[in-house]
Amino acid sequence: MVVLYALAVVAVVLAVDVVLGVAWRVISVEMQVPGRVYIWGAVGTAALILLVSLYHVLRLSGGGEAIARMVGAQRVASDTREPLERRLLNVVEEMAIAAGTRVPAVYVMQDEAGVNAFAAGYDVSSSVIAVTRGTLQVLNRDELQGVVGHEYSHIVNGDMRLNIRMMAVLSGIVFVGAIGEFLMRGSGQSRNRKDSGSGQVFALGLALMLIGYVGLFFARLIKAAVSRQREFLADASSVQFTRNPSGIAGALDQIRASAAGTLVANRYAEDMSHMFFGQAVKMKFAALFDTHPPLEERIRRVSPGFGPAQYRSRRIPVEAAEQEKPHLVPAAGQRVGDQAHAWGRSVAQSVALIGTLEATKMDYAGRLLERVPPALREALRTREGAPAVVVALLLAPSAEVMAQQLAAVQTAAGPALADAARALAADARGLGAEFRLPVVDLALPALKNRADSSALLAAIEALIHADRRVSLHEFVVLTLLRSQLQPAARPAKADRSISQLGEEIRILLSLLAHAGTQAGAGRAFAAGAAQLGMKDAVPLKREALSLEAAAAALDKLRALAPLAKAELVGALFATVTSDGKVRVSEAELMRVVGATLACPVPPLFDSLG
Amino acid sequence: MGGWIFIAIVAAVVVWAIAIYNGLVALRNRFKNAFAQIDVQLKRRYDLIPNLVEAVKGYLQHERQTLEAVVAARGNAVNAAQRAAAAPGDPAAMQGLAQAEGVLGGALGRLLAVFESYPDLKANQNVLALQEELTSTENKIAFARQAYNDSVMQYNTKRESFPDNIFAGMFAFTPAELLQATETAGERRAPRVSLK
Repeated sequence: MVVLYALAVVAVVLAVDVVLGVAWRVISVEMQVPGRVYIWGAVGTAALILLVSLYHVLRLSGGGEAIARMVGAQRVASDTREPLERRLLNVVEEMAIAAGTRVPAVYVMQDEAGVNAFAAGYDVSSSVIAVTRGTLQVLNRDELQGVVGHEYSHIVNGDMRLNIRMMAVLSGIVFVGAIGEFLMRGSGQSRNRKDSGSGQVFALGLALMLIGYVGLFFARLIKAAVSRQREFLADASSVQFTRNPSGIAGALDQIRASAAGTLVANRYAEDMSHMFFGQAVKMKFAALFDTHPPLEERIRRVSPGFGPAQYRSRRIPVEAAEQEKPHLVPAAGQRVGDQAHAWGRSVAQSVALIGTLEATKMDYAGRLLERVPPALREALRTREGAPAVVVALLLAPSAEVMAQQLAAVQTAAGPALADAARALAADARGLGAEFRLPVVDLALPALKNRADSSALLAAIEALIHADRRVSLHEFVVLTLLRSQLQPAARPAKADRSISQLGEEIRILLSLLAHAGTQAGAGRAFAAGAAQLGMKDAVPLKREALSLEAAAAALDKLRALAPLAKAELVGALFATVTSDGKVRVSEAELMRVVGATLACPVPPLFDSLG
Repeated sequence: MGGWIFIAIVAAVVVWAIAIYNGLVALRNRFKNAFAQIDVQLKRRYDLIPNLVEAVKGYLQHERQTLEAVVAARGNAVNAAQRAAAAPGDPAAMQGLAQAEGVLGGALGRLLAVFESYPDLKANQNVLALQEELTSTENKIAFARQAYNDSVMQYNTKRESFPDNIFAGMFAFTPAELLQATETAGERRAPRVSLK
């Protein structure tokens, strides 16, 4: 490492001297280049490299926390109630005991979906461990232990200090290139003024930049060479700490299997590539510059007899995965007041309702509003109150879940919204099922006036996910709010046919079918599918429906041709009315589907329950 | 001249002996500290068990025996831990603790197995969180044990290898006991499975 660094510095110094020599001959009349030019050039370059290196060493001596903040990682509170973060904290503590060190600060990179982690810090006491959100979601407990054990090896073996110094020192070499680029750009601009000296400055800048690239070449080579050996050592130490080779081998195997891999999107990823658990940045000449050995090689070294197929079949999945990715539970009569209303119209008559507005419906809306408790009605009109009403409507009746939901809202959008929603919760709970979506409708104008609509959407999503399941009603509200507050760009062409979007239609029909009675779901789906001539279509299982899949399907269906949309709405009505009744939850779903497809469905009920 | 060489050799031997002595002291303190770490985790487990029992009592009306076994095993383990903490490395106390811990571990294992047959329990956030804490504590105990055994091994290796063993004998560095697998005689028997 030191030898390579010295070599790199010497190479850069020599290169700068050659450039200076050439420049001297061009500028000066003297044929002999005086020795002092070389000496001063060498001293200056070396001093520059050392100064920049020193600067970075000092800057990074702030320790691991500075680096964790640099990549935008969030500190995990020691009293976190989030199951995945709790598990991470526990695993980190376990490994601290196994490695015989103190417990480092733990960070999570919330926005990274790849599986990766790093340890950073100048010494053991100021060290941090950071993992991506993807790591928490993809790896099970044993695998997470393997990854954390690997990072502990970096802490215990002083790799972090080495890493940080390397980062600092190498940036000094790379800095020469940055100066060259600066000179070249500066002279490139002034060249327009026909300045005689600028051409030479340009050439000097170009030469320095080339040197910089030479520096970068060496920097990457050094980083890669050191890092790869350290990774093998860390993998081995992980096995030493956990006494479980299949943990780390399994984690590496999961990385190989996962789509996101180990790539990290953060812009500092390149600087820090050698600190991560897996390859964070794609390199052109992988064999030379990869900071991490290939996954196959790493697996082979920790567990020579590792069989991926066998491991995957026996692997315990992440227990909390279901909690992270809640599936959609169509609320068949689960909600209070989800009563069924008799429906006397045929499919064709139902489709004819689209886009109409009858006097009785106007009346219905008016009567609905009258029944809304005054506190809610008042709040709906204000910019502050409207979001609180929407939040209050989604709160669960059980006090425990409600507290979790409000805590989620508070972290996503601040305490003001949570407090206001808490105050309205009692009123909102008394509201019948058929009032809920209309009240959200009433809140929309006030919501659209707010600049922080994305914060509100984030709060609502957090709230919905707080109880680890998404009810149909929650899906409807979220989809409506998303489509109204952050409308996606209209599809370029609305020319798709029913058969082209068969899978999406299947998802939607299944969702609607499960929204009715449990027993009639199969029949309801068949009724809808028959309308579209999809004889062979099979409904999806309840468990297979996810919030994301349903939202994505709905989004894709916007590209249907207008006539195909009418057919689809007909099929949806056929599904909903297959038992001659329409439930409130079904009506809500019809409304939001209609709103998304730009086929507005009027309120389906005339009377109030 | 010869006198000087003799003095130099004696000085070198003395310095060398001091180095060996200090090395042994460092290793001895390290395994004592490692034992204290196990103790910390064991205490944590003793504190956690009443919470867990309290949280699941309502659900497990028919599993009184399992719960009582856990509580009784906890009481015994607490006593054994106190005796062992008074004399870390003492073989008799270590074995007593290992046995009591083994019984407690077995009782907890049965309790966790019982959980599996109560879907209500698995849906309870509090119980799930407690279960994660317990899993983690069990791991921590295992890792602390592992760290203790590693440091005892280092200490014993140094104590017994030549020439350190000469000084170890002189300064009364006694051998330290490794923690064995925490099985009681009863647990070593193959489990009888009866399918009713």
